[in-house]
Amino acid sequence: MPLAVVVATLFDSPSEAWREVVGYGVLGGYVKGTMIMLLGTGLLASIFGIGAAWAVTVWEFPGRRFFSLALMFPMAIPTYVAAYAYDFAKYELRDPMMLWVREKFGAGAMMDANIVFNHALAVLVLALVLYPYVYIAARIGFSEISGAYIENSRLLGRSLWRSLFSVGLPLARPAIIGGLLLVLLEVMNEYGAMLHYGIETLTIGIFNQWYDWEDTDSAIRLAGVAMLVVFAIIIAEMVLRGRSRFHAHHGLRRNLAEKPKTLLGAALACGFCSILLFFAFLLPLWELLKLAWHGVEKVQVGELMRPVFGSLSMALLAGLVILAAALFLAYAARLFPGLTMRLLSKMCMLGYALPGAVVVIAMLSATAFISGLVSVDSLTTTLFTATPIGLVMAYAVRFMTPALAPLEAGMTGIRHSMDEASRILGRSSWGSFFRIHLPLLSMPLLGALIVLFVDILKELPLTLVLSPPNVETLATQTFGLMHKEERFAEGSLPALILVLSGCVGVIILHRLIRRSHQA
Amino acid sequence: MSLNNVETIFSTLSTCIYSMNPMFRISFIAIIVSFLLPSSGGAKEVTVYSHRHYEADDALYAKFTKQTGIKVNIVKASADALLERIKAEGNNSPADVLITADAGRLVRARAAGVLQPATSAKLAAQVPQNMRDADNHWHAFTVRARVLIYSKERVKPSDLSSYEDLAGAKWKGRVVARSSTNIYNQSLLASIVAAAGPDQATAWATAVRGNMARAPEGSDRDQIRAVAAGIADVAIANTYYVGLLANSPDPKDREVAGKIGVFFPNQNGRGAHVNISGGGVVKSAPNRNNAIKLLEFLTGSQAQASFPETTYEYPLDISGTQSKLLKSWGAFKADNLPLQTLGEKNADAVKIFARARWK
Repeated sequence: MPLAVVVATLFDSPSEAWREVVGYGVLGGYVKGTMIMLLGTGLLASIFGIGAAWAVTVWEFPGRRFFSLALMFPMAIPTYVAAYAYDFAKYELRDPMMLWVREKFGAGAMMDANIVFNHALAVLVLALVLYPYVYIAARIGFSEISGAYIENSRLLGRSLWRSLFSVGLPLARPAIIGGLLLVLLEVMNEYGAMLHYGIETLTIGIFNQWYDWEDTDSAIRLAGVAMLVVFAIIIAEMVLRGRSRFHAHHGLRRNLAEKPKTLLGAALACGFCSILLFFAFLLPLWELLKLAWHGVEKVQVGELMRPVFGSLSMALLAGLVILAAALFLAYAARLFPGLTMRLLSKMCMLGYALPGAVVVIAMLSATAFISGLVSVDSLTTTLFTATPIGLVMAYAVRFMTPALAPLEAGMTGIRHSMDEASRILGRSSWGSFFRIHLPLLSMPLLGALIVLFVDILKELPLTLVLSPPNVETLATQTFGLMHKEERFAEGSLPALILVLSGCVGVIILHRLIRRSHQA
Repeated sequence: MSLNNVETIFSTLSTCIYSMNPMFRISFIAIIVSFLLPSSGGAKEVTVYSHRHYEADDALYAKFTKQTGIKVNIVKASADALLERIKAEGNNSPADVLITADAGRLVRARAAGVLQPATSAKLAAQVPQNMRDADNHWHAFTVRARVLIYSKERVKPSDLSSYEDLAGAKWKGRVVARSSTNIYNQSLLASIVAAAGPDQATAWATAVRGNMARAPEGSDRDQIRAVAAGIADVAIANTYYVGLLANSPDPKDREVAGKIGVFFPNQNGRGAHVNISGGGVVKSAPNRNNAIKLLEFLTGSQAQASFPETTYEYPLDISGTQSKLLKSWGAFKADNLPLQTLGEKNADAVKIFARARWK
């Protein structure tokens, strides 16, 4: 329905404000900013994610098992927290640099250099906290799908480096593209960090039109342009994923890591992982710890319990509900492989790519619409506004993609002949689902749950607007203290707990995956 | 098909729940159940939708509850989103009070028809005429001054005079200000539109944008830091950010506060630009009387004395503040333009900023 409204508006005659947006070259600026961020972050996150996954998959080096887990941790840092944690780069690195530029080349050069620096920093910070999406997908891809092939390639005498490009990447492609898709969609809807660095993107534009111009029409038009970009990304993903159906050789699953032939290889792998982990996780964590050290005496620890409880319960509750729904969608798409189902599952991605506040407005109009349909409307309003049902539904709209993407990739890995065999043996489609697909999907399911748990923990705009009264989560408290009050020292405490509980979630689920593999 | 769907969800959920250990299982189910139950709706409560995300406000609400026995339920989000939520909830909205951090949003809320007049002798006595809506649809409870922050090292206070002066050639490459998407800048420009008309306001915004040392980025605090770092010499910012820096637990922030000075502009003319935080009673408020009581409390002496100490905002009686920090910035004359005007001229201001390419 929100989609339909957007499309309909695109064909209306443009409002005055829209003409001003186009007339002053503002739209071009939005598109340019968005493209720079998409390309930069996508490229950097791919290099980080694939490089790290390849290193821990095929090399044996000191601390490999630690790295294979710890390299997921940066995803626990919300982008708005990472932006603040990296503020030191602005004050201690950029500002002195800018003063030097002004002295050497003049004020105009400083203005330009400042813009370039901000874009570069934004790309780096986003890539550092978003690469784990690619990393996790690539790990699954390398170990589940192409493990046996990589081994064969090695036996045939190819170097590990050549095996990456000739075997590893092509075979793990569906999984990696799925991970990259999540990164790009996150970049599309990023708001706080872009505002922080003064970068104009379509999402910034949507807010601008909506709230400042009070011009819903232009906002929706911009959302339409944003959706075109998203569609382009999704279609690229479908094309890239292609019709390829590579299947796992589950019988051959084994630890691929081997002793490297050269010391140099081990040093490179270890060095790459260490540097990445340092910049993506240890450095921001250290900055937060330094701030928290100043702030700790001003905060009563007891007051932190409420947001901790709010966050964990919402993340678990909504995570399980969304996972169940995603599982249903993924299996339905397999049973009925027509265009409708494919489109339907792709449409779910819009919720992930559109800015959170647009999803909020869509949810609110949907609530109003449903209340209008049902005669006992006070009941629906109560259900939506006084209980977390509305919020859980909104999370589902927003986070169907991170749940669905790994499940779909996982489904691709299960041979269709398995379904056929099961059906021939007389099982119903739901019977085969529980006997065949669910067990085979354990890895993608847990992967999806990690991503969901951490995503919901970090989620901000929906939680702020749609939560029932008096619900405080770690994310809303961090946001309140850091962004609204600008009391960074005090805000770094809930931020730290938020990051660390995300890490704990990652560790627990990592354990579960390991256990399920041993079983 | 749909039955199977439900079955799948439940069986997946129950598989998950049964794989937990018993203690965890019980608490998990308890959590879900407690979440699904709506909070009990007693009469002794008031529900606040607030744009203000301050812990100090929570402490004030706790005091209010202690004094009156009225429980305060809070939803904190941006004023625009909360306004949309109230509209969507319609007549069944649980909201009693809408609180924003600027007059423009309150004017907008009134225009959207979601507020109702709150008439009370106490409110009339406690809130000055220009700090409330003409028909009492909203009342201010804190005041925020938008001033010039200058480098003590490179700028003499005598070099500064007014907002208009920042458009002069001597400030080329020396000014910083945040994005025009911010409401504080919009209301400042709205006050200039009200004082000098749209053409002069456009000329001003274009010239100040041309004098900037860097493209707008970050918050008011970032502008103040840019002045302290030497990137620029003058910043446009709200005073309470200086309070935050001066009282920050982080020594680096306090160092920044030591390097800058506060200058109240336009003291020989209309006065420094001020905006407010304020609240209005929602039209469908289920607890209208409690809502008015809350507004009376926020504009009353106890709350008024607390704001300068906790959020470094000015009380409604600007000159009457006892705060040492606020007094150290000096007494000043505030622009006494009716705040309603800020809301009415907001659309002009947004358009002018776009024309001036002040992004």
